[in-house]
Amino acid sequence: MTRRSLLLLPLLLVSCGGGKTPAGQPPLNTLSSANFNELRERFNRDAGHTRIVVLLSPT
Amino acid sequence: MQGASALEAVVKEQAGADIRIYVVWEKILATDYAAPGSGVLARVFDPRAVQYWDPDLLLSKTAQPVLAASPDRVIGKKALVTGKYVWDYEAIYPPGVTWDVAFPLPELQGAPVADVAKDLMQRYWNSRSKSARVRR
Repeated sequence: MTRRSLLLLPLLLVSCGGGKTPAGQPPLNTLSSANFNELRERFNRDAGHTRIVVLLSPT
Repeated sequence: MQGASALEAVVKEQAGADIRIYVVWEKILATDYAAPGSGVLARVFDPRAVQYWDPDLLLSKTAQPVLAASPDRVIGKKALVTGKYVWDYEAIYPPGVTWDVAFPLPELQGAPVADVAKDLMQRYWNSRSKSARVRR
């Protein structure tokens, strides 16, 4: 491993974990088959409100 | 990413509205190799929003069969809903709708987000005020 790649490794690890969400929002949640139900449960918990769902590419 | 900024601009105009926003970032393009960074997440800074990273396209896979069955209800580019994956897509649900087994059909939906976000919000509030008038 070169010195340059060693220096870039921490940056890469941070970027793979995702960034920090804006103030007032919960942390970014990575969906998986193990926790996908959490999204559905949150949607249903918020059933008293108007809800907007968007699917976007980050790039 | 224009979609996220368009969405933020629309919800900013709805500062007092009782809404919740779920932003699901998908690994859909070849360039989407990592979870969104802080700069991307900051595009939707409304505190009513919750943001998710969906590298396995789980929401798309869940929603696509339901949404693709009613393409006539999609405002804008239907191909972004009826294709293999749902993306650059927005759905609006009124209070009372629940997600039971199948993904729920929204009251309003459209794509791409940058093009339809404002229109969808206006249509939604117009339909809500009409139904409120009918109830009176």
